[in-house]
Amino acid sequence: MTPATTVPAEGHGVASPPARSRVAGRRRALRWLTRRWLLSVGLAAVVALCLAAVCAGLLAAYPPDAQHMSVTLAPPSAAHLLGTDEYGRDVLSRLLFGARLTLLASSAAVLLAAVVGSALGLTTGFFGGVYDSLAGRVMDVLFSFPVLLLGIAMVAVLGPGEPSVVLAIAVASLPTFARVSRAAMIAEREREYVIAAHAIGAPVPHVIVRTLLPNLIGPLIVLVSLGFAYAVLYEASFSFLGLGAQPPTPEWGVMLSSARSYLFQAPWYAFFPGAAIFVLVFSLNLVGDGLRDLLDPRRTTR
Amino acid sequence: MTRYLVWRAVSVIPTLIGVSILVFLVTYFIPGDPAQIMAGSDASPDIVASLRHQWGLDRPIYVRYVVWAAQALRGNLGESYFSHLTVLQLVSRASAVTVELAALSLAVAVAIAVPAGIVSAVRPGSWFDLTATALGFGGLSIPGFWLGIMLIYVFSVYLRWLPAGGFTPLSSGLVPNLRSLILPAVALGTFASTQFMRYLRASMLEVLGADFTRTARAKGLTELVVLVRHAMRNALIPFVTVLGVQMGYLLGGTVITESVFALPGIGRLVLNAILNRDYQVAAGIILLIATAFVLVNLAVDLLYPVLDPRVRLGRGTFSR
Repeated sequence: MTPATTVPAEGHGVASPPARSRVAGRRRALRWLTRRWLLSVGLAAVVALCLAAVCAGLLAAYPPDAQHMSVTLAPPSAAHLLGTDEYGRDVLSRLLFGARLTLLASSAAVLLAAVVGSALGLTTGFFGGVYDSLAGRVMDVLFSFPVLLLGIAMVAVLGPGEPSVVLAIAVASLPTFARVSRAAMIAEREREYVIAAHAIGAPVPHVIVRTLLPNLIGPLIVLVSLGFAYAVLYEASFSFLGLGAQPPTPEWGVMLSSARSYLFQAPWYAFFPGAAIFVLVFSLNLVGDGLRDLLDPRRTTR
Repeated sequence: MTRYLVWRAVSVIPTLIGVSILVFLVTYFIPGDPAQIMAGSDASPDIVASLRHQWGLDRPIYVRYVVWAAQALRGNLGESYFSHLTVLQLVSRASAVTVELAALSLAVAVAIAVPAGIVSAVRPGSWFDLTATALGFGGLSIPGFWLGIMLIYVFSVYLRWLPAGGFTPLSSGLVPNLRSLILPAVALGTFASTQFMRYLRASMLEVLGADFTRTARAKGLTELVVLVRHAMRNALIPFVTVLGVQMGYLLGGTVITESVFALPGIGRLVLNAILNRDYQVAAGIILLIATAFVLVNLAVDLLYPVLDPRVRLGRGTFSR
């Protein structure tokens, strides 16, 4: 689901000749700074979008479903900053309210996948044995479906709607969390501090949650922020396909889907909902990438 | 080595069985009785019951699974409740579109990613590298359906260069055929190209810092020979794995792209089947696509040791 997380460490194993090391060092410092700068920009954008969603009632100039039939498909103007749709509804107001649904649904999906997936991964990695190989097989099966198809199949079972979409994205993202946390657990479980915890008689749940988890949380946090970006994309895709939120709900994918029919008269109507999705996903990716550089020990020790 | 290949090939079998069980369960739990839907809401219970019996819907779940799986193995994936065409007929008709779309998207992705990734890695930190990385980051975040719609706006509505949707088969000529597929291929290939570029840049950087590259340079080989014959050949090996993984994304992405561009491919077929509750068709296609995805990844894994003799036995299920 998040192929970007498996990118091999850039420049790993590069032995810089001494003459070039100062240049490389400077480049690394520059990179360090820009990465943190980008991380802050991404975080600020995500926080701003969340605030906009929460305060949609205050910020929006119109109720999201208020129709102004005299100004249908109007271009952006002072009265309607991003124009109006086919029923004369204010596009900006609908985007603001739509942000609520998208943010809520995608964060719910990612948190669900993160909690269940890492619980599965941590325990399979810790205990191993039949449980591990059985769970591994199940994950293999889930990995065999392109995410969208798995989601479509699940939406078919549960019926269209946001709850099905949340569950579909969660199930589709689950194997990634399970795999990453399992691998991290296996790398860590034989370390001395873990053996020490066992030796002083700490119970197994305590060892997993209090001793090991704090040392494994880094990659998982990275995965959550990157998974969040994918969840937003998929949530909008499902709604766009008519499998998630249904009109007249103000939702970005739904808006984009209706805007398709008016591409000739009102291209801006199709532009803004997609741009909103893009900005949110882009910011989340910035956060995820920045956090990976901060938290992934493999990359930061370089 | 042979043992690894055999083990890897055999390990596909339980996965495929699991895939088939999951697909079957999905169709089993889809709400709505197909017999009732087929017969109409005012049909008498007798007619519905006889239809259920005719399709074997009244048998226990495990019997239905075994019957379904045995039929599927023989290539009989059932037929559409509506058009009464078999799933294989429907798929073979639609697959021409989807296969061509996927191949073109892959070509677009590789054509963008390979030069961009290599130049970025050869001059890391240069303006080209920074621009390519930034664009790649943007391409990673762009919703494919939005990109498709914007492409339609620019090239079909505004410039009127290309058709806004629909498919012209190859039999009507290569140029009209390509004209109908180029926008969808770009919309679908962009995401894959950003992935390819990231991987290629990273593995190129690694290879360019390796000892054998330094040796090649020390021998006095020209930079071009070092790049093409020594670095690229090794950097492209991990790339093959990414290709396999991306095939899955492309196959999933066709659902959206075909919907945006009104292409009569497999993605549209499966979406319509689900929206119409035509679940034999939906199950058949999902099974076919998942199987294809598993086999593509198997092929990639089997190809890997051929390309890279260093790969040896001992890669577990999760370490792939």
